[in-house]
Amino acid sequence: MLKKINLFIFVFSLFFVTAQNNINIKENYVKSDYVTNKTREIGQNIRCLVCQNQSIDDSSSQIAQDLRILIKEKIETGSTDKEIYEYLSNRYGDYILLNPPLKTNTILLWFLPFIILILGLFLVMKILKKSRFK
Amino acid sequence: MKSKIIIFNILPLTLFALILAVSALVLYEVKKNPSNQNLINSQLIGKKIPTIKIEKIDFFQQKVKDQTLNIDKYKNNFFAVNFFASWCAPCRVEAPLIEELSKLIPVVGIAYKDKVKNTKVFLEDYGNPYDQIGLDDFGKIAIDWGVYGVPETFIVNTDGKIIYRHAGPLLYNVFKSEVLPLIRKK
Repeated sequence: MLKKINLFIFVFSLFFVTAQNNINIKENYVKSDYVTNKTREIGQNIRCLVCQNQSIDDSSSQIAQDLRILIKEKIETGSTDKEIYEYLSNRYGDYILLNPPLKTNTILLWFLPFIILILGLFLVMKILKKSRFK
Repeated sequence: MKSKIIIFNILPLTLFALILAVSALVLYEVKKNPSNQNLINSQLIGKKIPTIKIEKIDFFQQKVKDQTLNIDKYKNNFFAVNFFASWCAPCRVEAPLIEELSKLIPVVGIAYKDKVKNTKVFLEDYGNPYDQIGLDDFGKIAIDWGVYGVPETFIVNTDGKIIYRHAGPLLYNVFKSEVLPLIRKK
């Protein structure tokens, strides 16, 4: 019986933990499906600067919450996606974008995987050819 | 045939050496200039300051004055903007250096997500080096300045352009080697 009561208290207190979190977030996601979806979509491409490799959509840190609220407000006032990304990268640099833009200094970043893939294929073909003739 | 075997033996080693060399170079650069470590180096350097339309904290009356910060008064002068908060431990660490800075140029304090009464206690304990203090209760101004945590310090030149930004507490070595030369140059 005591065990059951303890379990009940535990589960009951868990309920309050989540409720508390919801209060902290201060974001009203019920308002409009379009704004919600758009905010989440953009948030998934924005790096949470104080986290380890998380997007602001994943993170519950203060700055992530603030940025989500800001993005939501910008969507509501009719900003385009491009304007929002530009606004953020003008302030926090391209580092805030989880999808790095194709620029002269990121060419290597974008194409090195393909170059390595082609080189690897070339190498595999060479080795296969050699072993077949043996 | 033999030369081919040699190439296949040497190629991975060469690639490894190359990667090692590049990493060493990057590490060396970072060591040489610690501010390079900051990947999010301010994008605002060389740009005009963003507007700061926030309410001023009246230190004596303990509440927010019905008045916004007056930035125009620094026209044609150097000044600094320091984002701080009473709940922020590194802000306590840098307090003496902000005091030093305020002896050279006016410092505008922006209380980030703070409560006025806590700000007041903080300033009573650590001194008030600020010429004016604004309250950024929702962190909106901070985002506009590209701030991602407190403390952060900006130095603005006579053209109203940001010439320097330091994220994290302002420590003596940074103050001496980076901040002082900038202010002396003015």
